[in-house]
Amino acid sequence: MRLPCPCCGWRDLREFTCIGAADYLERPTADAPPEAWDAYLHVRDNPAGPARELWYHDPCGTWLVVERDTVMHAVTGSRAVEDAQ
Amino acid sequence: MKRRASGGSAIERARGVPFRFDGREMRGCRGDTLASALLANGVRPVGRSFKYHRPRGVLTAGSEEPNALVELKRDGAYQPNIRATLQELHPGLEARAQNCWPSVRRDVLAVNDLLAPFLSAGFYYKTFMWPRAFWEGLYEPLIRRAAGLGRLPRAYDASLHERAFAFCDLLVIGSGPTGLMAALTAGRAGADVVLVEEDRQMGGLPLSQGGQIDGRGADGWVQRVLRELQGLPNVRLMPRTSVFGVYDGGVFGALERVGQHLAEPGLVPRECYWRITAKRAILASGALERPIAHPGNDRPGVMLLSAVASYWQRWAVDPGRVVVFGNNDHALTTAQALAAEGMQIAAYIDSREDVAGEAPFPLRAGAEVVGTRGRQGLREVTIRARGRESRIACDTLGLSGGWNPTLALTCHQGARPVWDEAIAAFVPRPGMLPGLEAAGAARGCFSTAACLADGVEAARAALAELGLTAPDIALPEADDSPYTLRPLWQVKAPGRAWLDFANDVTTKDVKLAAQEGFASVEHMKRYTTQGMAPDQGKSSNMGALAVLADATGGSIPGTGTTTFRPPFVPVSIGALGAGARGKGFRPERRTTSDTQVRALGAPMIEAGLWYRPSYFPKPGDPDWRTACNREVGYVRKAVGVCDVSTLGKIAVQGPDAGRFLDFVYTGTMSRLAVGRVRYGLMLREDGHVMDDGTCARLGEQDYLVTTTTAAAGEVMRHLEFVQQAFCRGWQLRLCSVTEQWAQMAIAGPLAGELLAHVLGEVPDLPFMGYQPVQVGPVAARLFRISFSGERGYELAVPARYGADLFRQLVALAEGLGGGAYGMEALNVLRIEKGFLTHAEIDGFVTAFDLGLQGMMSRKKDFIGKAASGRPGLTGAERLQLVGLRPQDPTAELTAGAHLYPREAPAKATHGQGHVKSVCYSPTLGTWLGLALVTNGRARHGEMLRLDDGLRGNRCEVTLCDPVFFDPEGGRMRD
Amino acid sequence: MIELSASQPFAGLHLPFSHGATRLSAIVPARMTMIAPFPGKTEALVKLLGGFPAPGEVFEPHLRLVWAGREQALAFGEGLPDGLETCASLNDQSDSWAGAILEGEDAKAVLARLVAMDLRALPAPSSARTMLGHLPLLLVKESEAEFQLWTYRSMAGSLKNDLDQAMRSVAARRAVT
Ligand SMILES: [Zn+2]
Repeated sequence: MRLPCPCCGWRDLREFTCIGAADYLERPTADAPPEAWDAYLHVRDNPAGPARELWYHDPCGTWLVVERDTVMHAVTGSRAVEDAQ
Repeated sequence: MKRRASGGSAIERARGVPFRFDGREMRGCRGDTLASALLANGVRPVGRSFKYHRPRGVLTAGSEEPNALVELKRDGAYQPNIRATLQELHPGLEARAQNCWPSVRRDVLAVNDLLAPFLSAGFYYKTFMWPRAFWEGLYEPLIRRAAGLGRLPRAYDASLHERAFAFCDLLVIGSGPTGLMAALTAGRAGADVVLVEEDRQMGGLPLSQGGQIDGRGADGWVQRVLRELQGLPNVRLMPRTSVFGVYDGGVFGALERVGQHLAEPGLVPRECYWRITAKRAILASGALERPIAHPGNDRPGVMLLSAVASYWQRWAVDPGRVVVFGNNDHALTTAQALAAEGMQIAAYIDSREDVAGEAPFPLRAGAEVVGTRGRQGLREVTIRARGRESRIACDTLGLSGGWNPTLALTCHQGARPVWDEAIAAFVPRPGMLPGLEAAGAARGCFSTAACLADGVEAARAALAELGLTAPDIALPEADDSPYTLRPLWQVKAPGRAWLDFANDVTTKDVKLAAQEGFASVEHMKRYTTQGMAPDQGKSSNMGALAVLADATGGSIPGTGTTTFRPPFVPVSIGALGAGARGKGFRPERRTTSDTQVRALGAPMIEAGLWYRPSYFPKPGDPDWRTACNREVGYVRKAVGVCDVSTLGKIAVQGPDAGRFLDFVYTGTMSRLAVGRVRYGLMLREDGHVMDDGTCARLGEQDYLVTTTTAAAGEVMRHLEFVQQAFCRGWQLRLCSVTEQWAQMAIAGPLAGELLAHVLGEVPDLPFMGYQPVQVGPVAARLFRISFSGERGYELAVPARYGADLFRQLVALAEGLGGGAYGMEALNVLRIEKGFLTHAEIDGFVTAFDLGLQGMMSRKKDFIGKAASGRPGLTGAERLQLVGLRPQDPTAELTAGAHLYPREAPAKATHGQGHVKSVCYSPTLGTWLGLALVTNGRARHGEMLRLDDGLRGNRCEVTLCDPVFFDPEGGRMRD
Repeated sequence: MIELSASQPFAGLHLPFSHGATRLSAIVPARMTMIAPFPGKTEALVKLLGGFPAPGEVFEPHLRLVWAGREQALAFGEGLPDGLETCASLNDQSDSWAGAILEGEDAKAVLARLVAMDLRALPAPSSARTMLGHLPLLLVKESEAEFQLWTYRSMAGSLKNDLDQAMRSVAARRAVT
């Protein structure tokens, strides 16, 4: 499997670390109710199809949002977390 | 019998090659495969079958071979399951038949063949059922002895393997007419092309079948194209390479036989595991001929017709008198061509009624082979035509049941092929696998002319997708005769007819599976083990499927194929693990003091990737603990020196550095004064402790964060995430400076005195202070911090000076009655003080559990703050950090032990907690432990039973405060 | 007061050496400074430095600047202009790295055993952050036959081992074909 890094271009999977769904970027405010924090920390969809995931390109230090199809395994996009949304 | 004919395009007759098979001296020619050399030496049984131990001969001339698997002597050991059809002969080659004892000709387990009625499909499941007690003692060893092909060598595998990466625009898999034309078209267009071929020689079927291409001998045409390809700098040719898997993103796994054919490989690796990344790929893997399931079809001497032709054309193996049994036009034209070249064709048998043609041999239409005879090899075949049987004497039977496109790679990502009635075979669907298209025979275009045209066409399509312009290319003229067949999957006659030669599966087994309810193709496969041998059923899947369809009354496409998964050909574990053996398994990180601590005799222990000294032995030490106690004494009584460079160091710089650190630490770092150091705690967002360490403010906008050795990478990744995700635009940057600085801990009552020798004076630095210092001309950093509870400093110098600094510090310390201390002593010192490591910070603990809830600021948000306040993460039900002291100070505590009420049984329901770290404290003369105990802080003084079921250790312990030594901390502040 | 003597990252590792057509030699460390412009400050930095490398670039206004990761570049040599600290984080990295030069007509073949990147596609000079086997790597392609390979100082031994093995293997292949 290969993934595109906005800095480095397409690279082999071995250079990346994945921490799961990009929902993790939507951090609740400090005073948000416990339900919001629970959802943020633990509740994830498990999509069969397009998914947005957080990957880290270890060699260059860039965090990415990768758009990937979990059925077809096609990678359809990737942006630096800093530029995402 | 004369066994070499004249000719033979692959061999050099003048160069004889001596080799041994089953202890017998033989001679082959340079260019032979082991299979061709064995055939040329008249060897017929080359191995025994898996279940019935029947003698088996060579069936094919390629990697699909189910029978001719041998053990090959290499690097002093026998390597099992080598396909004799791929193994090239070299002088001194030594091989032996496998799956037989004492020899391939007389094999004791051949008695299994007599037991055949009891060993039918599913016999494992039926026989080895009960009594249950027999499993471990009897059945399993029995199955283990009989199971599997070949024997695993027991010795360490000394052979060299290699891995490599390749990249290209277009990968062409297979170098027959289709592949050659595809590579030529793309090569002329300037595309970066890799052409792989499993065989030693490129060219594919024309090498075996002769014929004409472009008005000349096919072989000559192949050589001319290859010469052009070799001249193109943008084309790489990779012979002896099998593509075995297709993976996501255009990555192909391929195995190259690099030194496997060399008598003296030296440092040449046996195999190379390639990962080829291709923008586009063309599968030009051709087709495999399929056998016909007729009674007695497993007798040595029964071969695929294409193999008979191949051994004749390429290796000049004379098959003697040949009977050809086919069901298609290609079989007849092949027999005619071979006869024209002098092969003795005793008869041509075709199951079709309407076959006619000019031939110098008897042509029997509407006939079938219903039996074979011959003890060690074929002597005659029995023919049935219009209900009447007759016998024909022969040495070889060439089978041709039609051809199956070699399409497995197109299915590696889950797609299914479609049925093509015209050729009675499955073919790939266009677009089945992104970026890969089959062409030529691999998609059912069987004539040479069609293959040549399809290769060009496939290359044109790929070039268009690559944005390259295809050149005009003239199509060479070649044979375009049609290929028609009438399917013949099994000959219905008495006797066992084999489908899967490698795993001994007959048509009867498949029918039995269907009868017993295993009618789905995936169930049948597992019940009969058809297709589960090293050849993965390349010659048997189609036949078994057809017999199953017949038995269940279904159609072949309705029955469907089993799933094709990588690897397409066997890949040795050695190749998969290439590069990762020994030192290649993982990197070693060595400190600047490494050479020196090893020279002092210190055994090294791993901390993450780093190597650190455990202790420094001295002559006469009875055990390691003596050394450890001595080193603890250095620090408690004089001065000790320890290399702490492995701790992670991260520079956090910029106007917003303080603000950022407030967000990632539980405490407030922005209010730390310049020149001060603070202990800090980082949480994960879920409220648990991630790491601890110090944070020093070196300048107004310049902080230095330290992490534990093992967590350095994780912390850096975490900080990068927080910055990039949540702190966009903040004016700061992170930079790892771990490797820039060699940092030495100097600890003990005489630490100041030692520093005076180093710096010229005792620095006036308060506890938890930092200042830049000079060691002569060298700019250094001095921190007054302590992980031992004694007066302690850490002195950091640029790494180039690390080795010398350590050497001089140790010498100075020794002069003061101290010396170097290792990880064992460091661990004792920190346990005595109740300082934490990742033994305690195990990913499950919160700041509250560790008694550090006071470090969590109430005034600001920080990572993990909200979640750490969740119900269940604070309270009496939590496992909390406590100290442990045994009732009897000499009673050894063991880490990992569980704690129970004194009288309660050692059951999980009674568990009170567990021990995280232990040591023997020479300072206090007792064993000490740190443990996590339910509501532990409220239970100081209580007695529990420590129970280590694994090591059989039990003792009584008292819970206490985790700081055992100098709880006021006066010694380190002083 | 003590005096400290310096040692090199590849000390004791017997560089340089050659196998077949490739040679591995150690780079004598010069001053190396990691420059990371603060967000939005790249333009100010460019004014001071005369430029700043984009991903993969090696750039020599006067000092050699090698792109070395997200928003950072390594400057080789002394004489950084004043005032940089107002727009960038600066860290001395002179002792952080172990650098070696791999050269020869088989250099790319050797690296193809260790680096999962298409090095032929890179221009010269250019840089890439990647891995050499399991090692972190800053690679600088100087030409089709010369590569600078930088890893962290503590891993110099592993860098040498991995390269030594790949160089031997490629040389052995050459000898038989
Ligand atoms: Zn990157």
